Parts: sequence; C-alpha cells; structure tokens
Amino acid sequence: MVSLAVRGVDVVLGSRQVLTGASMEVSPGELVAVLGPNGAGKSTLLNVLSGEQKVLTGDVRIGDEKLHHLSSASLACKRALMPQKASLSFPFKVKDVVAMGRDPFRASVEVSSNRLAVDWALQETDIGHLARRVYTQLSGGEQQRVQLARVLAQVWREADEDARFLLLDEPTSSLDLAHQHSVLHLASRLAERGVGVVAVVHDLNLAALYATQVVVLSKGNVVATGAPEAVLQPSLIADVFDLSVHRVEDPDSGRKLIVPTGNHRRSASVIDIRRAL
Amino acid sequence: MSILTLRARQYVDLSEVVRALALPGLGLLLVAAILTGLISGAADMATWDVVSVLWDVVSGRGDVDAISRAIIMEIRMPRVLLGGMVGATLAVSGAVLQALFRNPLAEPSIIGVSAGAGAAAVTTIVLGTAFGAMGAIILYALPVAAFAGGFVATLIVVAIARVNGQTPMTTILLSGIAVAALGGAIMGLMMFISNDEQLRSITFWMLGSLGGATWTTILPAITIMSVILFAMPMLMHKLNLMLLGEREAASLGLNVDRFKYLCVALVAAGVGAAVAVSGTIGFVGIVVPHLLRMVVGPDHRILLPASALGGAALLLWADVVARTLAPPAELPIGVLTALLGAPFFLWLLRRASREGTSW
Repeated sequence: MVSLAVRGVDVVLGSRQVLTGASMEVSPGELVAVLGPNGAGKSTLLNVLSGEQKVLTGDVRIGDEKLHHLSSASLACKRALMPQKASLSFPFKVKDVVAMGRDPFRASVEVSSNRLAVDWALQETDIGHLARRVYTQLSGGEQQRVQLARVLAQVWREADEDARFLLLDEPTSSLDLAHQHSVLHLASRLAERGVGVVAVVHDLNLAALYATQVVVLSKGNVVATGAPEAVLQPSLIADVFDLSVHRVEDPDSGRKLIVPTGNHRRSASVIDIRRAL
Repeated sequence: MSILTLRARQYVDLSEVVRALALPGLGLLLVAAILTGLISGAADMATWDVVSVLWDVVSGRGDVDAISRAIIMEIRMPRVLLGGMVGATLAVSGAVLQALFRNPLAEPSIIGVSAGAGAAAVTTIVLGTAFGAMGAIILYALPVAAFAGGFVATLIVVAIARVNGQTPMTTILLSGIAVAALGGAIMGLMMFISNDEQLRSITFWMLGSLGGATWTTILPAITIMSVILFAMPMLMHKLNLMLLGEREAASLGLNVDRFKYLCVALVAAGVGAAVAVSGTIGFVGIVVPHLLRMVVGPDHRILLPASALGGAALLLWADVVARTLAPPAELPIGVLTALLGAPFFLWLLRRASREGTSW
C-alpha cells in the first residue's frame, strides 16, 4: 500500500535543531495523532510530511517517490494541508473559499464533480448554512471549519481507490467541545474511506478516542509510536509533558481516560531546586 | 408582502446580481467613455460624425471627408486607445500587487517601477538636453529610458528582497521603499541642476499626460501593456489562492516564488510602458481595484476584468474632463486623477470603517 513516510529527518531552523532523526509513517486508512508539548516540533513534522519544509538529512516519500521530486501541482493532488493559522483576510464567500480546495483539479476533473466535492465538504463540516456568508465575518471556530472544508474538498475523490493524505495542524484549536469531536470523528471516517490522516492535537483523550496510531514528540525527537492504548502510559506522559496523570476506566465503554491529577510536577521540581539551594 | 417577494428575498442573493451585472455595466461605461473621448476636443464633432467615421473605417468604404477622418483616426483615436490601455494596465497591476501583498493598499509603485522610470526619464531630459541632443531624440529616448529604468529598479528590488532562496513580500515592500527613495533622490538632484526649460518638461512629464499620442509613439507601449491584460485569465485563479495565504497556495499546487516573479515582471513591464508614454498617473492603480472589490468582492475571476474595464473607463473620463474643463488648455491628467481620487478614496475608507469592514 502507498504510504507517506518520513525517515531519519533532521530539520534546522535558524540555529535551532527542530527535528532530530524523526521518523513516522501514515498509510491510507490510518488516523495518526501527533502529540507533544509546545515547541516539540509537531508543526515542523507536519510541514515535512507536506513537502513544504526542506530537510537536511533523511527523506520523505509517498510510496517509492521522493516528495521533492514531485511537482507542487501533482503533490497537491495527493495531499492536503490545513495550517495552524489561516491568514485569509479578504471577504470571500464561504463556498468560494471551500471551492479553492478543488483548484488542483480545475483542469482534470469535471465542473460538476468539483461542485459535488464542495457540497460534500460543506455538509461534512456542518457549515452548509454558512455557504453564502462572508468568511471574514465568521467567528474563529466557524472560520476553522471553513478551512477544514477546503482541505476536505481537496482530498475528495469520486472513487476511493486513490491514496491521498490529509494533514491537519491543530484542527480543533478554536472549536467548541462538540465540534472538536465531530472533526476527529470526521477524520476517522475519512480514514475508513482510504485517506491517510495526520492530525496534531493537544487533547490526549481526543487522540486516544479516535486515532489508530499516535506519534509522541519531545524536543524534536519522536519518543514513542504505536497504538494509543499502548503508548499513552502515565509514565510517558509524565516524562514528555511534565504532568502527572491517572488512567481511569470509563464506566460505560471501559475505555481508558487520561485525567491530570492536578499535582503539577514542574512546580514540584522548582520547590525541589529551592530546597537544594 | 406576498409570499412571492418573501421567497425572492430568500433566494436572490443581491451580491450575485451585482457580480453578474458588473462586467456588462463597466463595459457600457467604457464604450461611452471611448465615444465621448472621440467626440470631445478642439474641433467640433457631432456624435453622428464620429459614428460615421468609425463605420467608414470598419466597412472600408472611404466616403467621409478626409479631415474628419484624420481628426478622429489620427489625433483622437491614439489618445483614446492609449488612455484606455494605460488605465486598464494601472488598475490590473494594482489588483495583482494587492493580491500578492495580500494588502488592499498596495499599488504599482510599491515595487519601485514608478521611481525607476521617473529617475530615468528625468535624467534623460536633463542630461540629454545638456549634451545638446535634439528634441526629436529626447522624444524617442524618453519612453525607452523610462521603461528600462522602471524595469531595472524592479529587478534591484526583487534581487535585494531575496533571502535564503525565498522572496517574502515584506522584504519586497521594504526594498521597494528604499529604491523609491533612491529614485526620488536622483529626480531631486536632476531637478536641482536643471535649467528652467528642462524643469518645465520635467514637471509636465511628472504630472502625467495623454497628449502627444500618435500611432508611432504609442504602439510599442500598447504592445507591452497588452501582455498583462492578455495574461489575466492565467493569473486570476492563482491570485485567489495567494489571498488564501502563501502556505495554503503552495499546498494547493502553486509554485509561489515563480508566480511572484511572473507577476512582478508583468507589472513592471506594463506599468513601465504606461509611465514611459504617459508620465506618472497616480491613484488609478489603487482606487480602481479597491473600489471594485467593494462592489464585486475579492474574487479575481471578476475583479481582474472589472479592474481592466473600470480603469480604462476612469482614465478616459478623466481625460475628457481634463480636456474640456478650460479649453484650449489641458489640465494634467495625473493632477486630475489625484485630485478626484484622493478625497474619494478617503470617503470610501471612512464609509468602510463605519460599516465595520476594513475593505
């Protein structure tokens, strides 16, 4: 199966080493959650996956092809990227913003199919009622859903056999609780339809609930990869996030939930240092 | 209120109607401007005379009198054609740069083209006459020098702005400001050492004019200007992607850096040619796309052709006013566009900020 893979990648931005020997892989059908504290290199990893960030060493491939050998036009037909911050400040209609996701297919796909993709993306992201509204007048959360719809339209296919990848950088950061879940639920449904999805998320429970795989980053290193149940152990979370947590069982589903204890390790260690001094 | 009108209100999106009517409306405005431009002037011409000359030229019969024909076809037509092309080029260039900078206040001079063209033109006037060149040589050397100066200045701006193989728009903006200041300094220096007669031609050139347009002087410039106008269908989708953001545009398959160079080159060539033959005509490049964006929205599939039509119409109407306000004297058209453009622009900004939309 055609997968999108990063192997042994180093990235240096300015004088800072942002990624060190990072490796990860996503295959169609998977939903990979990228986790880690602020500044761990999550967004950079996503940019490497999208081909936007050049790498010093290591390589990035879709199937057997190296990403930087592909033209940006053909890359646009294989993967879509939703950046963390959108910078659109011109008063486009929502449906026009979403339709731009179909721009890579303007010449190759019929107009009616492209329109179908836009309608589908509007429905899936629950913004059908905003289609004729002006983007700049929407709330932050609504704008985020419009951007999500745009990348959904980009990975839409008439038939599901094509391998394609959806890269989401904190797609839930401005969303209310219900929409956070509907976005991740949508991502997992897309994965079932043959899209390889990579999402940077901060909520560990959200990752545990929907992801098939998690990748944990700490200070530019991939420190753990695997199924959420296996990876998200209290000891790892304590090491990576500097936060002590309990795993408790949800009484209805039996799933493991991660609950911070409120006993903050960082402040504890500050006290330790003071004592030592 | 009947159910029918309620339904209509629900389903007819007013902005869609405006968008659909904008291009035909602007087209009519342009046709009217062209006809008025051909009718008005020192020699009295009736609408009918103009129409019959035009029909005569189109049908190739040759039964109108030679004088009317010469006035229309040799004197007024080049001027009208030049005005239309300059207006369209300035407005489209403004729209393109506003999209590249993702800032509705960008205008063609931002990439240094106007300052470079101005410095080269003024230098040609002062040094050319100082070395005893004849008037005719100046007449032909001036547009060539202005065009070359504008293009070279833009090349310098882009070359300086390039960092680590990328060309961020902010550094283009900053080096554009620096190069414009340098061009201004060269112009100031030349004006300082010029004599009265040279100063007069400098002033005349700097205020902008469509006068003196003949077929031989305008044809090269019109050819260059038409490149950016013919490139519009190729640019409009990509400019929309640029508004989305550079990263988003790149992830949608646009080679962002190459596209920027292409746009800057097209604008530098078009505006350079416009400035070379008509001097500096301000405010068309910023006001027209800005105003039209308020009417038709930011979508370049409509905004670019609308800017071309609107820019052409605006400059032709301004030229008609400039010619007829105090005949036989002509007001410099650059003065007129700024005189009308600036207060109008301020009014638009006030109105937009009151309504809570920034543009």
